[in-house]
Amino acid sequence: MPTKVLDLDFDALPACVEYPAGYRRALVLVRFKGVPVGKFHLPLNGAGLPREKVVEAICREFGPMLADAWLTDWIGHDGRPKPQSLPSATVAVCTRDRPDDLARCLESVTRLRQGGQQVMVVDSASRGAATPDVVARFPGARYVREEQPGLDRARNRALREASTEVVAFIDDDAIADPGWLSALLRNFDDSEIMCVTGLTMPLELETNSQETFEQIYPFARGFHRKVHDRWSLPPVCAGRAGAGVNMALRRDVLAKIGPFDEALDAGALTRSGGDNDMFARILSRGYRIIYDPAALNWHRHRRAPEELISQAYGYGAGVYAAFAAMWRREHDIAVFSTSLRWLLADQLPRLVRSLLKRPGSGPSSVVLAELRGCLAGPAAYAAETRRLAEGPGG
Amino acid sequence: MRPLPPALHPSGAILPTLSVIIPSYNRCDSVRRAVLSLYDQGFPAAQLEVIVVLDGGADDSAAMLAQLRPPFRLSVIEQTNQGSAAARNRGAAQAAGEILVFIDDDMECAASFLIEHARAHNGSQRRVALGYFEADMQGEVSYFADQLRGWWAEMFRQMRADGHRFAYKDLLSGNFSVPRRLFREVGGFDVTLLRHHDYELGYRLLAAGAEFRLVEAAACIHHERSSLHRTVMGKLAEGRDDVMLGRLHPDLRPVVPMNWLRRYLALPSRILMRLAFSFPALGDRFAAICESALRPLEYARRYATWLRVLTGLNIYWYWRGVATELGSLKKLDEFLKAPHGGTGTVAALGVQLEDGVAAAAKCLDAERPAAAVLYYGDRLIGRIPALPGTERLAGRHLAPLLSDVFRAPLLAALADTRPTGVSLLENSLAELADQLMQRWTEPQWRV
Repeated sequence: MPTKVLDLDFDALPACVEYPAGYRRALVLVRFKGVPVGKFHLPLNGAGLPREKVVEAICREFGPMLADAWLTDWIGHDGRPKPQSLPSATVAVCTRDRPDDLARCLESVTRLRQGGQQVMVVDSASRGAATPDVVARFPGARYVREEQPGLDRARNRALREASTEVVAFIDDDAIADPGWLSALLRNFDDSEIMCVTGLTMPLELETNSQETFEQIYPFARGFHRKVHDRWSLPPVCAGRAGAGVNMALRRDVLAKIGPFDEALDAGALTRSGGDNDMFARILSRGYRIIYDPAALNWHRHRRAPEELISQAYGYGAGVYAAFAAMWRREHDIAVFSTSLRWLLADQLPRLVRSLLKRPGSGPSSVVLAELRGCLAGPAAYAAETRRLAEGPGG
Repeated sequence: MRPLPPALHPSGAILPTLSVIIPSYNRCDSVRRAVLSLYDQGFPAAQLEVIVVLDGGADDSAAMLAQLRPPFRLSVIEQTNQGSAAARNRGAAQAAGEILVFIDDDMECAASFLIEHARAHNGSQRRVALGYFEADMQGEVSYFADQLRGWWAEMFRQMRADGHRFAYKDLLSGNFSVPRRLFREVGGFDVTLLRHHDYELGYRLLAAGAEFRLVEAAACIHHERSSLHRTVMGKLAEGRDDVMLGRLHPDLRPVVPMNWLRRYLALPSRILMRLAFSFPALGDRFAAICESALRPLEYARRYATWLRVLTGLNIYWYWRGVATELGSLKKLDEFLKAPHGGTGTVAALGVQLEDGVAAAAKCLDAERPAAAVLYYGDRLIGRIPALPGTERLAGRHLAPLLSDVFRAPLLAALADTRPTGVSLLENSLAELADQLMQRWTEPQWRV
């Protein structure tokens, strides 16, 4: 049963919220004057939703949070930096063989409210001419071809090719909210802030796989702005700071922290974990990461069940590969306690719930795939680092 | 002499003359780098002089400086070692510029450094421009290097924060500029303090009505060479200096760190204080052991424990400094209790919030009171007290205070006026106001 994703601003609700037929439920992102306040599920009955009904549902669900947002607006101070000028920025999209997704992503980037940014597409060894053809349709976008596949390799290429202070990454299967970039950029008001991440909502929830993905692996990290440093967030838990789908880095991260680890993430056996590893390294060097839900983008989760299984495996592999990277780099014993805690407090209970077919737990095959990934992650990382050490083509 | 670049005076504004004063002690390479960084600034050479004061020392600094051929007037003063405060005063006494720019010898100035300092004084004779610097840890990767870099950044983070009330502690002698007349009017640096002579000057400048302003574009790279041991032992001098600050300016006693540390009752903190005052020999042994434990803790990547131990060390040596000046806990309590200026007697301005935050802020800007009482209609929202060694209230302070401190009573007052026109939201306002009010107590103010 598909779920309609709705984006409603409490301050500008239409008289009647319309939606296409065939939905029995909505996932509503609630904003107040543009800033996300929360999300909740709303049952639909096929007819349009009159304004009063929506107000009632939102107030029931989010009363105190909305009141708080209203007060913040009345005072005119939300605690976020108000820099006189924003740093220069490149929007970087790393893509591989997804021309349709890429076109939608680039369209959203042209609609960004903030102007003056550069746009770069790093084509990570796509086959055929479809990808460069799509980029050619967007005159402002620069096309950079990377012959060797690998997401972290493409991210590094973007950082090296860019000439701006900040590089903002968005996945090719995501679209940016018009205020996305400026909300990211205004947080870079301090040299210690190496990275800013944002809120990622699902673009659509049309299939069971997408619903399950959103339940188990939501990108959202809450609706409050958070400042992470290694005191508040141990590097081993860096994944809580955000995700690569929605992150901006200072370009001098290359000099101060180093490039993304090319043994990690999509295109390598480790499948993911490149963002995790970068966040961990930023934190362990004492720098800060800001999570700001005002920086909103929308991700289209994979639709097919086999893609979900594959993602679960990749997620497990990536996290454990990043643990392996951290152990190799710092010999931080926290990787063992953290992985044990994760297994006992999250993965095993999830497996039991799904075997008992508890509602909202998803199929057990997903958890099992994740666990298989975890087992394979460290070896995959070792294999990839060996391959990298042997040089290109090795 | 280079011609004046046209970009300098788009408005026809005339740039003031600058005297850059750099005290230095046995750091030939550093002071050379600092002076060289002033070469290509595009600042009119005729309006610039640089004065290096060599404060004793026995290296090649004087010979090195004599060989430089800078595009501006460079004077070198040599004196017997008297400390950096005396060296700065000596440089200032000889300075001819309208604006004095003080930098440390381990600074490297950014390309527009001079112009930004000069511009910062446009339109005011009583402004103090606080320059910005970023610490360069010389490639050192360690918990300590990262922590020290973070501490410097934190100071500027606080100054940058919306609504920051500038205080005596914001004056860092490493990079600031002040009109020469103002500097002489307040009497320059006090040479009796070991480290905090900049804080002390900050106090007298604020008392003389100076306006502090953070000028981030007047930037330097700070080539940091401190070691963990030196930083920790520096707290000893800071403890001593805080006592001296309190003696010079009794109204600062409620806001120096020893005041809230004394009231902070966590057991480890009390033990450290007791050790420093009553058993210093034992305490010093214990501190040495703790300091040598930091390296293994870092090796085992126990950051949280490492930071706790380091914080404990800092607190201990700070108390040791206080104890060398005051002698006993009894004297400390007398010192902290001694009658001081009495900021409670300052007349507070009544500020009405009913017409919105902007109108109230305007009112504060017009009056610049030391303290204020906030009302919404006839309801009392709260009091903003005068803080010693702190600038007077301005409009920009108001919204952050309302947001961070007075949220509960403000919401309670607003909820009663049913302001939104959406009855369900108004119920939520009242509900949230009740929740917040249950937890609200008028804040205990401290710096």
